[in-house]
Amino acid sequence: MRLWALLGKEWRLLRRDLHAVAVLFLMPLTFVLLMAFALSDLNAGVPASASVNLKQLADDHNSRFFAAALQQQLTVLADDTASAVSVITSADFTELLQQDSDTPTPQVQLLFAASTPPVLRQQVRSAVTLALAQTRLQAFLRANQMLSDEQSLAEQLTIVRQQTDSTLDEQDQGSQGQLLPQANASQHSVPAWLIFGMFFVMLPMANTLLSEQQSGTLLRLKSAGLPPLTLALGKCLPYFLINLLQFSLLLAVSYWLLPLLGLAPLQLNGSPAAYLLLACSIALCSSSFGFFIASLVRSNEQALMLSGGCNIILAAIGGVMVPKAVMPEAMQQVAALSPMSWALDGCLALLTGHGSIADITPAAVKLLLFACVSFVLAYFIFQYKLSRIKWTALY
Amino acid sequence: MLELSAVHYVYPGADVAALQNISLSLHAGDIVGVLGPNGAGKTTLFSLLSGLTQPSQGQLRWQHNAIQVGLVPQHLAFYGQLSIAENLAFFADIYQLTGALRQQQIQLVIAACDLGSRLQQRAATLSGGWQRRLNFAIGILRPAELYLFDEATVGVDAQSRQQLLAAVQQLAAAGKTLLYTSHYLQETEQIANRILILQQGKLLLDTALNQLAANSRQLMLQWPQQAPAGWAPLLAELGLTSTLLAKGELIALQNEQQWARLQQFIVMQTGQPLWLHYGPPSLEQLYLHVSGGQL
Repeated sequence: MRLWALLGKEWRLLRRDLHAVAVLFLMPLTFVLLMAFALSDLNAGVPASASVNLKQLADDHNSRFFAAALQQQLTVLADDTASAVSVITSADFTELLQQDSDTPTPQVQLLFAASTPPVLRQQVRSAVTLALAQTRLQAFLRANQMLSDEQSLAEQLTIVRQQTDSTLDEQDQGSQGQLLPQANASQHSVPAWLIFGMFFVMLPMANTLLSEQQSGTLLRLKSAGLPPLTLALGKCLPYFLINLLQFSLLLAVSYWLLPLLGLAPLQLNGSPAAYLLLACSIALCSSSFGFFIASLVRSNEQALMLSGGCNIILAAIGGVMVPKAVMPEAMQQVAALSPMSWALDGCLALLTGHGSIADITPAAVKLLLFACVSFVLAYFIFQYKLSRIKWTALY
Repeated sequence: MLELSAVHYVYPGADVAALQNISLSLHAGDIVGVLGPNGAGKTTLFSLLSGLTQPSQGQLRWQHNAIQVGLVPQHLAFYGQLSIAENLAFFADIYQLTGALRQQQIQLVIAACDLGSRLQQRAATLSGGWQRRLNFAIGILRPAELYLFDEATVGVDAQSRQQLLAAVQQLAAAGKTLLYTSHYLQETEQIANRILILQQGKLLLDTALNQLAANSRQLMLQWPQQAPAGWAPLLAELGLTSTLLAKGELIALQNEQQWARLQQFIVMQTGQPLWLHYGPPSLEQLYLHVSGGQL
């Protein structure tokens, strides 16, 4: 009955704390929606078209062909239009195109505004490389009379593209080797922000425990003979349940709300039992770690700094903010230390890999071990603090 | 009900004991006013009695093993985001009150602290006086043998204070033991039947307040340096004992003849007492003299 009373009390306190509700529910929901909108082109499989300035210092056939080939891939603007990227072909473009040297002189110069993102740079590089290859092929075909000067530039380009275009059959593969439809961006972004939001229980946990210490309610609870374990469970269990609620709510919103907004919906692939196991593992991990942080802090400032700081650092190294795949090897090894990374691996095994319980077991085991270690450490610290409670309640 | 024998308590890392050689007995129905300046050891005594800490030396012996203690701390120890009714219900659950007893206790404290008109109001939005009443109500909600009140009526209006004091007296009438600290000495004098005065961890005085009031023949005085020669033999001759106070001494007389003999001795001295009071002292006078003027 006492544990039930503690759960009810914690639930009421949280429900009436608008800041905590915002941090635990609104913030991750906002992230999910913002990321879904930001990555909506990626969802649709259509990359945003890059615009470049093309400045050509020669006006020969090869230069014109290069311009036409580039036009097929990028939006080519007039020379004097302001753009973040400029493509400049040299005056001796045709000679340089056919050079045979160990240290070739560049035929094309690329100028990027300093703030140009790496993805756009890569897109431009690929397009220019392909257009150069097509121009070389066109020159070779013309030299061997396989293309006629009487053919229009468009006709020549069509023939060259037939020789150079590739058709790729790209498919995703599940952990059991089965072929899967390609995951949309929501499958990748939703779990990241869901996990980020779940670990934010640290903040309200730390604040409520601190408030109980400072007001003297913990003194009352202790003097009523409540065992430390009951008090600890009374603090962890409500947030475990809140974590499960967050998990269900955010998945439901991503499943039903995103398509209503014209965005790619979250597809709930994988076994339902695996979802339950994963949700419980993440919830136990975050609520135990939250209890650990809550037992450490001695002021509201510390609560804010430590819980917020830990959450952001764990998210940054755990692949929530930057996908682990784009991190260097050393960073990926560091990422493997973050419980958020394990949680994310488990979620992705389900959402993108259509996984089973067996697929998420490694992640779940790591999360549960982390939960055990956090809870045991937190419990000892909490017991020590309880033993130091005096009549004045402040310590 | 409870006996403290030569109890010492030293805080970890402290050089001086917070409580030194405290021996006293508490009985059912006692309302004990605990007085002393800040740092006297009142808080430490309450911590020991509530079971929050254990004595470094000495013993606390309870008559029964599983004694319940009701606490009314100086801090507002409740949940501001819960209503009065929710706070009472929560602590009733924590105190493991069930069934009819639960309802009875909740109704009892609501009536005793006059909380009925604002049961659904959140505690954080109550005025300071109402918050004190809720804090008080949660403390007495627990059926206990011993109740500890620490500045329980600070900030409460005069009318409500009388109501809370009446609730304290009802508990004592029901055979409960109460320890009460307050900086309002008149309040303590009104409800306490026994006074403890602590200073620097030592128990300076443990006396029944009604005896103090009933006995009008109390002499308190302070000699300029030391008592003149002949004072101690005179007291011995009259069969009187002197209790040393921080400043001066206290002598309980049995009859007017003794007072006449002492007056005669005093007027003949060249060095007159710095001050002298004959009659029933008020608690404030007693406290100030015993504690050496420290509040």
